[in-house]
Amino acid sequence: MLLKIENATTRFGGLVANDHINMEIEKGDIVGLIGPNGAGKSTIFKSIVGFNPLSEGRIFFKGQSLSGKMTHKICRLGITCTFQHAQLFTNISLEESVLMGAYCRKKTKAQARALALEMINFTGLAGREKLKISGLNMFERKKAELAAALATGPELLLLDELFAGLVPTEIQRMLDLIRRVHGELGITLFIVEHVLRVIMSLCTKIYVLEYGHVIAQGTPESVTQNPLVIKAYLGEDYDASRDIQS
Amino acid sequence: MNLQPKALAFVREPRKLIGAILLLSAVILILYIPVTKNRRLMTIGIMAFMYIALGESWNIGAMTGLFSIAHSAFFGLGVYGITITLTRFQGPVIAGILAGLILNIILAVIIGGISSKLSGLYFTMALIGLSATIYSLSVQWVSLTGGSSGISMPRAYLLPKRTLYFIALGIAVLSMIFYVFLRRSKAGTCFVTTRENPSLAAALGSNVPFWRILSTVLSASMAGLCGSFYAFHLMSNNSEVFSGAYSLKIMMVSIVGGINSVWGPVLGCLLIIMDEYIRGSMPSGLAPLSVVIYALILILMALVKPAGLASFFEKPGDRHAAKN
Repeated sequence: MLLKIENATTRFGGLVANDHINMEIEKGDIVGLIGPNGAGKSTIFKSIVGFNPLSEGRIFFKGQSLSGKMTHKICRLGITCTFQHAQLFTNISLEESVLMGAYCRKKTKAQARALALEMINFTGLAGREKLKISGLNMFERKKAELAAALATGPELLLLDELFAGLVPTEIQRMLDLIRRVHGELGITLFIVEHVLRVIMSLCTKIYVLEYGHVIAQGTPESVTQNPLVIKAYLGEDYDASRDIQS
Repeated sequence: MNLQPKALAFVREPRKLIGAILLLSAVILILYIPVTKNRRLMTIGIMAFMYIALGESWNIGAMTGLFSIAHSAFFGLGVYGITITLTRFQGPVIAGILAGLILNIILAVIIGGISSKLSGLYFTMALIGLSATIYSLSVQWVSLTGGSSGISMPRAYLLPKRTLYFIALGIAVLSMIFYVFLRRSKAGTCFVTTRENPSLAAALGSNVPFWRILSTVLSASMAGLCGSFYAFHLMSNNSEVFSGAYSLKIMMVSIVGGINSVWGPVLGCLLIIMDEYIRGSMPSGLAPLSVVIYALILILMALVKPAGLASFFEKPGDRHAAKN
């Protein structure tokens, strides 16, 4: 068991964003997390990487409790995330942005720089190292954020709407890249995504959240046929078979 | 393909050529001034060098986004640390410098700690409060600080002008080298990413509160060292060194010159040169008017060149989106 979430509950004042959530992620999985806006998907992500402390419950990474650990410590343990709106370091060069991630495990600048350049190449951004992030387009920024996250050498990578705002051809290229992250780098993935095509074609297991509760879990096929999910999220007349094939 | 020798790079980039010529003339001027034995020019030079170092110190704080509007607190602690050690306790110079440094590190840890809890306006208010407290202490704690009339350094420490000039030059050059070294190191990367996006920096494994405190400590220590030097220059020190006028000048040097550039304070110190020169030449009744001139320059710079004088020497695309 790589990640185990036990009864995770997060309250913001009277609002219960996550209500007794239980999730399990095995090494090598690609797990998807879907649900309507405001269902608490980003909240559980933030709890895992230590931005929001849990009100109740515990999260274990490789058997070790993450409660009370600061974000940078959790990153050292091997979990990192990308953010919802590709918020990078606007006025800093691509190379230095990825370098920040590389310093997580590399002590000297030369080693860190070599790793940063390797990740920039891996994500297909070679030749743009010296550009500021503000000079990159949306697709490149998302890849840059991915490169920075990969440079930290994670075992578990949380991707929060990495595909949002991309055009279909870019989605396809990003899909290929994510498959390589999983296959070549051997990184376990946990994905929040609204683009169902991504979830359906990548994930081995899906959790569905609604109003802070897990309402369904299982394989993409079983989840999309679950009447609760169809009612809550996908709409009454959703044709699952069409999405899976596309 | 680039077959041209490197020296010809200047020809293709006139901005760099102009920069190189200006730098060369500045170096010649700096070395020529002590030869003239003109005390007034040397004084202006000392002030300019000190403000370069103070500007670099402010810039190091600015790397993590610490917008220190009360930098004179650090500076003043340096001045008082050495003056009090030498006069009240008859300690050696090194003890005085250390006293200033320790006071500054303590203050910086407090400020750095506050900055990771408070942000924006609230942090600024806390900073103003802290510096006002220190100023009040320096005026009220008469037995230690000599109150508002201040305390003078012992006559034995009166150094020749030319010696002070070269010490100041050394401090300025060292502070510039330190800035460049720091910016290129791991700490520099952690500092600027903290400024740009602290959450992402933390997610990428950076210990954000630690780097915030470290940058404040480095910035404060440098300002304190400048203060320790300034005590030898001024000789009769008073609580004026804690005043907002010093903070304002340090900020002007850094901002007008250009934040986040090692050359920023160097260009910004032109303001200090102008300030010293104008104050010396104007009829004394008009001296307060100089503030009006600074204000006008600050407004003009904000409108015309918000990125600072240093940006004149960058390629137009360097600062934003070079799309090619």
